[in-house]
This record gives sequence, structure tokens and C-alpha cells, in this order.
Amino acid sequence: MSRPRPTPLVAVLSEQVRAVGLSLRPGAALLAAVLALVTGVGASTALGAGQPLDFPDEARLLIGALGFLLPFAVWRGEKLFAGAWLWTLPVERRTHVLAKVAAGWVWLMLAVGLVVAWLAGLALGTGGELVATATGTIADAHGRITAVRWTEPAWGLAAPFTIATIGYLVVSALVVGLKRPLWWIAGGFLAACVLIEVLDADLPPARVLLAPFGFVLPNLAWWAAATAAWTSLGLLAVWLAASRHREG
Amino acid sequence: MLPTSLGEGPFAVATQGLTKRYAREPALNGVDLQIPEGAVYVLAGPNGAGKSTLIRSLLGLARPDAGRATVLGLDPRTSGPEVRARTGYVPEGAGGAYGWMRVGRLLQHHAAYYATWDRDYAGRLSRALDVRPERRVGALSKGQVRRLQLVLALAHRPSLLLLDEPTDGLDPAARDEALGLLSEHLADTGGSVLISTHLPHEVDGLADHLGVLRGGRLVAQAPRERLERMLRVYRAEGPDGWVGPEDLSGVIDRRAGVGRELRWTVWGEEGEVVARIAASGGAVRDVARLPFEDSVLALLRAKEAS
Repeated sequence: MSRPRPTPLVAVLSEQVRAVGLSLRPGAALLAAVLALVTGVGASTALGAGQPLDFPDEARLLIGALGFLLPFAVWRGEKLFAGAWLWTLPVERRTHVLAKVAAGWVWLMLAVGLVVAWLAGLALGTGGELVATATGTIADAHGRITAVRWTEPAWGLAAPFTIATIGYLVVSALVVGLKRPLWWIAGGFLAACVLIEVLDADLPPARVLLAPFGFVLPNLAWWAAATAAWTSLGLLAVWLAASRHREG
Repeated sequence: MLPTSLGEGPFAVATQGLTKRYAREPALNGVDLQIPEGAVYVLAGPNGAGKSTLIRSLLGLARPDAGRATVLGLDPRTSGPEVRARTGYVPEGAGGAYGWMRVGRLLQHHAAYYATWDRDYAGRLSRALDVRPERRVGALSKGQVRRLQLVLALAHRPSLLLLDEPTDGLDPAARDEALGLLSEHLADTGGSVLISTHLPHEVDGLADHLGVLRGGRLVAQAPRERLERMLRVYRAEGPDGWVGPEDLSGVIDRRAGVGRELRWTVWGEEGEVVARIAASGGAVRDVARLPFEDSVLALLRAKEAS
């Protein structure tokens, strides 16, 4: 018989992937049913009207939103600040937290991939477009109005994965690191609104979504830089949150 | 007055001055626990005495504010995962595990974490304790969860068991079965076990060492054989107005009996105590050994008296 030792990281990761997958199964089934219903109705309506079904531009943010919700499902039932079951197992606690976060991310990427593939399949199958083309008007510095035609870059298809990843990391950090994450999230949102209002009444809240670190970015380089910065920040936050539970 | 040290080791578990506070309330106050290798050590004490905190400190699940612990030669503060790999743990209460999981899957989950997990043994334990793999953990009763926790604690054949109120919620038949399996496990592995309980009579048959914890302090600890030899009730009679020996040491309890009879519960050598009583003018009528549970009660009273 082998000498008892802490569980190797590979074994922890693979078991966490299996266990987290099991715990997410009911939610995933519900999500799949809703997605099938919504897209089915949309597809039949569009095809009935003889129109192709494009890959919906707004779906990227919606799919990305999965990442903001998933941490609550991954950590459901784990009382991290009150004798979690997880802590009784022979794994260094911070490592265990990180392994579980990683396991959730694996399933998140799979879910996002499946949803994107499903919507892309629908778009291609009905003769629609994967990247949206839009027309609109912009005003220059002198107030002159110009009509523009905007085609979403192809790399924008990666946005659901990156938005979901960043959201997942940030919310995971809150869920893991705080005793009452929902209170903090609600409080933080309120505080941000008040701060924006007090500091600069003219500042549109949507400004935070723009370049250089927002979601709406003009080119691949800016997008890659913003994604790397936010992902790094998310990873750091998860590390710090997990460190609250370290051994010793 | 009461014994608080078991002398030289080797010890499976030893703590020195272990102290833990929650807010400003001390949960553990300078505890020097000693569990000899191969011992079945019953840690008795009322609810809130600090038993669970002590066990959690031994596993590295609670950080002591002072003092140190050694578990199987390791410091749980720096080697928590190693300690937990070699320890079977039944936590206090029935909650904690994943309620959404089926019992069979939870067993698999644990198996993945322990290289020494013995599937055949786990199956045998499950059958003996009537742990059904198809049931959902969240739907189990308190007693069923306890039985499942015992399977999880034993199936990786650990050399140390830390069982926090393991018989809590078990009916008498299940309790007997569980204690029988525990005996088998100890016979097979030669390991050590710490059983915390506030109902010591339930584990009377297994115990070979006793520790009594009250208000975060370890009031006494001793091998059972010494406990039975040293802790006795003395019944004596004397002339009118007789109050017994004034400076009898080791007195835990003194009560007036029927008529001119006095009763003492004393920790001491029987011959010496009898001689002291006789020297004070009394005649010892009876010397009785205390049952295990009464010994615990007597030691708890001793703390109250002090």
C-alpha cells in the first residue's frame, strides 16, 4: 500500500472538473432548453419571412454574461468561511480553491464554445453572416455629421470567450474571497453609480466600456491589450481571494 | 491534583499550550493533549467545551492563536494536507458534504483524493452500515449522514482517526455496528483514534484513555486502567460530629450520606486514602470503582470545584 500523501494536483484538477461538471448539469440543461427555444423561435420566424439569421451581435455580451453567473453555481453549498467540506480533503487549501476555479472555467469555455458554435451554425445554415455589418452616423470635433459603415472584425467572435473568462475570474474572486459576495457586489455597484454622479455629472456611464480598457475597441492590438490587462487583473484577484484560505 | 500528563510518548498526537480564541472568548486554553500511539482516546466534555475546535486545530482547519500541535509527527499548521492524508475525520454535525451528490459519487469523489482508498473495504463498510450509493446526500437523515461519514473516514485506512461525536444521531443498532467496525479497523491498522463525545457511555467499550475538556481546558487525562485504579468513591462512618480527614488530598467531591455516613470521591491510592480516613477516626465501609461515565462526571465536577 502506498504511503498517504497529499493528493497530486493533476488528480485534484481532474476530479474537480468531473465534480463541478456534475454540479452544473441541471443548470446547463435548463440553459440549453432556453437557448434551443429562443433560437428555434427566432430561426423559424426569420426563415418564415425568408430572411437569413445573422450571428446576433448582442449575443456576445449575453454569452459572456455566463461567466459572471457561473461562480455562484460552482461554489454553491461550499461554506468557505465556515468549515467547508473542501478543506477536510488532503490538498493545500489555496491550491484547492484555484483548482476548483480552473475546473469551472473549463466548463465555462465548453459552454461558451457550444453556444457560439450553435449560433454560428444557425447563421451559416440559414445563409446569414457571422460578423455584423452596421451603418450609423458619427459627429467629429467640429460637429459635422458623417455616415459610416461598420463591419465587426472577425476576431470579435473571440469576445464571448474573453468576456466570459474575465467576468468569471472577477466574480470568482468575489465569491471565494468574501463572506457575503452579493452584498459587496450590490454595494459596489451602488457606490460606483454615486461616485460617477458626484465626480462628474456629465460622464456617461457607458464611457467605462470604451477604449483603452473597455469592451468596445477599435482594433486587434487594443483589444488584445485590454483583454490581457483584464485577465491578469482577474487572475490576480482570484489568487488574492484564494490566499485568504491558505494553510497555516 | 488530577493527572494532566501521560508522561513520555510515543504519541500519535501531542499538543503544548494550544490556545484558540473566537473574538475574545477562549475556545481552547493552553491544552496539552497527549494521545499515545495505538490508543483509543475518548475526549469527553459538555457541549461548547472546545472539543470540535481542538480536533479542527489538529487537522489544520483552525489556526491556533498560541501553542503547537504535532500529529503523526507533523505540524498541522505547516503540513495540513499531509496530516489530512493520513487521518480519517468525522466532522461534527451532519452538514457539509455536497447535498446534490449521490452517495456513490461522493465515495468516488473521496476515492480520487486518497491514494490509499480501498474500494473493497469501502464497499464492505457501506454494506455493513447500510449506506446506499443511489441515495442523494441531501436526502439522508442525520444518522445516515453519520454512517456515510464513517465510511469516508475509514475507507482510506488512515493511521489516525479524529471522530467528532461519531455516534451522534445513530440508533443503538447502528452505533454497535459502527463501533464494531471501528474495533476491526483498529485491529487491522494498529492506528490511534480520538473520539470526542458528550455521551461517554456510548463509547465506553472502546476507550482505553480518557481526557476531560471543560471550558477550553483539559481538566484531566489518564489511561483507563489508572483512572479505574485511582478514582474511587469511599463511604465511611465516624462518631457524632466527625468531619473526616481535614487535609485529604485529591478530593473531588464530598457529600453527607445517611446518618453519620460521609462519602468522598477521591483521586488517590486506595490504601493511602483509607488510612487517612481511618486515622481521622472514621471507619471505611465501602470503596467503589466508578463506572466510566460517572468518572467523566466526577472529573467535570472537579473542574467546577476548582
